[in-house]
Amino acid sequence: MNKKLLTLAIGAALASAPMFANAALTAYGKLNVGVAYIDNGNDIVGEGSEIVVTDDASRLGFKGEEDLGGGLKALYMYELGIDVDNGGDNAGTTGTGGIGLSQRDAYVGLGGGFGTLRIGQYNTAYKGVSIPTEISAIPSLTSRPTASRVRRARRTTSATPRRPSAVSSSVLSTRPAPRLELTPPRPIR
Amino acid sequence: MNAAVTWSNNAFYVAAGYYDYSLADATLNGLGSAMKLSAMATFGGFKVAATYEDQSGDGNFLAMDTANLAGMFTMGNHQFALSYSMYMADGSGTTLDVNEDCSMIGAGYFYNLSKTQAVKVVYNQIENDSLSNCMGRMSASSASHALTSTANGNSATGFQVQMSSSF
Repeated sequence: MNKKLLTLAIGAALASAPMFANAALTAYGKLNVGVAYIDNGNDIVGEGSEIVVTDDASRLGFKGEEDLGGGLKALYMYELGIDVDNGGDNAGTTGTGGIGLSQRDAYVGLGGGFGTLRIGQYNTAYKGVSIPTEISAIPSLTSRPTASRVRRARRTTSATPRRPSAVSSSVLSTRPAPRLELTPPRPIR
Repeated sequence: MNAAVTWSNNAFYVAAGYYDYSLADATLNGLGSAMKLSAMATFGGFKVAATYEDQSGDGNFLAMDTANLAGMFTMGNHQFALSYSMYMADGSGTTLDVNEDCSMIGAGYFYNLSKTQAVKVVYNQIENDSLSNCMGRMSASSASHALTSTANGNSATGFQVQMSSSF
């Protein structure tokens, strides 16, 4: 009798459970750490070269999606940058914070036949244009030198950066303010 | 405001993007817009990619053009890569009397220890003209250390050995 009641109870519990698939959480990350010898071309003794530990966009992220039924799904993503070599934030402000973490893509959204609606802070479609064409670990000056210059400008105390354009260019390679964006259901082919 | 259009199949990738600064940030109204074109072709173990980006200037901000051509050959766990980039800034007639031209070459060898572990060896060199002092990166992503010369016209070189681990 007790066995039968227990079976019924389990059956009732299963029947009353939402018919949604569980959200599959995916944790991911990468560490790109190296040692570099950099010669800056300056012949002055003590200023000509250096050996440094480098970090190349190391990160830790969590993402997932849940089927809500009716062709609708919820999705989310939260990614942190890990600054291995200096403990600062990945925006280039050495030493601030001291925990070596910074926010990368972070959003929640809904997907369906209408496309994908995302709310949060994440890379622009403009930046994504060239990401597939980047050859792994090989540098490009495309959008890169200006970003580096932004770092230098931020570290100076001058009220007027030498190249205001560098500040402008940073918009191209960084995540803009939190926003809402609708992506069409399928890419144009 | 920004927008992008992409087209791809198994062998080719083509994309174009447009960015209007004036709508993105009120403090950047002085700079009009930027556009970027990217393309990539894959033939067996060979991959060739190119990107061109043009940022317009309006008299208060520099007009800049950048271009990159890169190739990679994959043979088993071994990968060999070459890259050439150009950067041109034109500040003529603006409050910024800056006209710079520089280029950067890169060569890399990557050995994939497994699907998630790799060793990457990269050499980069920046060539500056007499008016420029460009900065690059030691890797394709937002690396922490810039490859830079300390004076206009100097050339900067960098050599890096990196361990890449992902999960």
